[in-house]
Amino acid sequence: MFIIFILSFIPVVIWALIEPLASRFMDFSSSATSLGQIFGLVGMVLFSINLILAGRFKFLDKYFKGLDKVYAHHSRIGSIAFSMLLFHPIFLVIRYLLISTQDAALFFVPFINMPVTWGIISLFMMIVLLSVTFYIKLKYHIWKMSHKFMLLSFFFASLHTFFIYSDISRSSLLRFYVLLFTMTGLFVGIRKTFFSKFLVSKFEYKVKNTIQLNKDILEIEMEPVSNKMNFKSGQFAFFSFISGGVTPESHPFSISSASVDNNIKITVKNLGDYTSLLVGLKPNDGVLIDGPYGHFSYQNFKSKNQIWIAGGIGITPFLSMARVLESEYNIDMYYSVKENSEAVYLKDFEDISLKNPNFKFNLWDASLKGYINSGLVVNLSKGFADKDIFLCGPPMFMESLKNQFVVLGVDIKKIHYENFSF
Amino acid sequence: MKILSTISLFIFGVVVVSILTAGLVFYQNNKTNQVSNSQTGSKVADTLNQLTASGKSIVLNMTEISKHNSQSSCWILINGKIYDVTSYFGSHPGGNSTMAATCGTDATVAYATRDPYASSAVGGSGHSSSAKNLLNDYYIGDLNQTIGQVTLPEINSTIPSVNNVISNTTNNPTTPKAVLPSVTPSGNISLNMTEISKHNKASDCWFIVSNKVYNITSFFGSHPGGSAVMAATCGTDATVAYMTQNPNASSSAGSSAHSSRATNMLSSYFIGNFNQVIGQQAVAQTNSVVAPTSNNGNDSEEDD
Repeated sequence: MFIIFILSFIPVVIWALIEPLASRFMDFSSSATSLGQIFGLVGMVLFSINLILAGRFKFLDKYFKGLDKVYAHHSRIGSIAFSMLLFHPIFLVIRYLLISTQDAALFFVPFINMPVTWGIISLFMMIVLLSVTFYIKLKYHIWKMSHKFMLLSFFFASLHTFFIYSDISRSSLLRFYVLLFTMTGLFVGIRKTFFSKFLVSKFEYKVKNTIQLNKDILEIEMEPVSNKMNFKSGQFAFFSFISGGVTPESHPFSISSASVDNNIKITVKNLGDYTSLLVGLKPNDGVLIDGPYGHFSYQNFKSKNQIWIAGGIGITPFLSMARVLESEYNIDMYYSVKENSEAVYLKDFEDISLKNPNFKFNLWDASLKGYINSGLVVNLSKGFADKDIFLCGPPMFMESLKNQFVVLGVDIKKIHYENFSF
Repeated sequence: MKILSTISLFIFGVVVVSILTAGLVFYQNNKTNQVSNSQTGSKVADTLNQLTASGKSIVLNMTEISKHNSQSSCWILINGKIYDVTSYFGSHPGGNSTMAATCGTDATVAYATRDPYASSAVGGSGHSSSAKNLLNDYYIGDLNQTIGQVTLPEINSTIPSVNNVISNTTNNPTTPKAVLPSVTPSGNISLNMTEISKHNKASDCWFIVSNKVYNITSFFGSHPGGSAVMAATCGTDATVAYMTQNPNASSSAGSSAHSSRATNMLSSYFIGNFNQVIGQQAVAQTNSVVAPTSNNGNDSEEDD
């Protein structure tokens, strides 16, 4: 976050050096214009950075300790950039407003001046697409499709940035700096939107079989067509299925099989949307896997004493980790389910805890014992000193437990979770 | 973060909708005003009056139009309407030569494409609506219409003059304090390069645009492009800088010019033509000119 702040502040410094600040902020209208320019500049750099963050890069996954964190930044920075770009014309119009209302109105009318028109088109698209993101709950793949048009909005914004008469057209240093970001942003966006099939290397797998574990939960086993994807247990990947009944866009799933296995398994709960289509998968259907991503692995943290808490389908990364767990780790595992019939892989966990006495498995049936809470966990596990805590489950479940642990005095750096709401 | 976006979106919506509504209401009011005025353009109204008074008449056919084919007398035909744009030379944001190329001809395509050599209007980008409103001021009649005869010099009397400027300032009681330039007590000064180059700072700034000299001092602080870009041109020939909106440009090719609105504003700072000898009094008056925002109704017509 800090580096992003610095990167977006540099153009403001360059801007401030082009012309003395005294003349930039000489009176009310020039100050408003200057603010408008700053907001436009910073907004544009942040917009570029956001396209790069959305590029699903492995180095970002490592740098931000998990792709979910990258997407969390993406949505935060997106909001900030959007707000700044909205205020960009608002501040600029003040000067015209001081001349006459009509001049101000003409400032917002497209097709009078081309560079301004590009800005208007870009902002209009942004407003529509982000309103959809913020206020309308679309199906994931429809939303994902709509969000791709942000690239077009960015394209118009770039045209606007470079063709409008401004400090960017006056100062070659500023132009170079902003050009560097917008070109990178455009390149990353185009690569991901149009050429991901060719430029992003994906692993080719095929469906081996599917097993219905209970009425809602489906296990999909896939085998590599040529190269096997190496991953750490606990990581996730993006899967896109090439099958008649399933839409082709990629979705993130945690891997439930062990990292040492040749085949990859994912375990999917039917939530009524895309996941309901997956029962239609047949053996030999093609799968493209983009991954692995994520920092959610017991090996990434030094403490050998850990508490693992799964809520519902959040069990999948823990199963993968338990399958390869070394005996020097002391793990207290809690698997919280609404009722016993929801629980899957009980046999697997029993087998693992039989072989490894340091892995203590607790099934938590909320219908009998009430919701799991941090106090109960700390009692059962005899304190949290030096222990890393892993949470995986529905967002509300993780948020609530995380807050409870923080209240108890657990260092937030020791609580690890992944948010799949992207 | 969603809240931040929501608040910004709300403010943006309120501001844009209210400005557009206010602007539209203003525009509608103006439009009805304009219709209630005379049929002919305000810039050539005198001409037309005299035309009727003289008793003689001419037919506005292609033969007649083609006689007015120079910068000193320039008639053009656009969409079946004839305009006498002679007095607009020097004010055209796209330059004089593009306009001169169309004198005495059917300029419909040239006007629609902003390219005097275009062969068709397809794909060209036209003039702005404010340009179209300006054009109305130069309207004399429709093609093949018969109108009274006219003496040419009187058509061309609408160039903004020192007199106009003076009357503007007397109409406008809210003018800021004048900053008097150092002028010799002889009374008259010659607007040559030596004189102009003395006024080379923001507190006393003259420049030349298209052979006209302007005292732009009181416009500092109101320039949308910032004060520094303008200050760079004080005391110099700013024609290219003005045409390109870039004080460091070496030629006006391929860049974007000031709007016609800006050019209208500029005319209020006019002192005299390059190398013209003018009275000291007139110069002093121009120092107190402000941007013509609160002028009488005549001016607001061309503000569209």
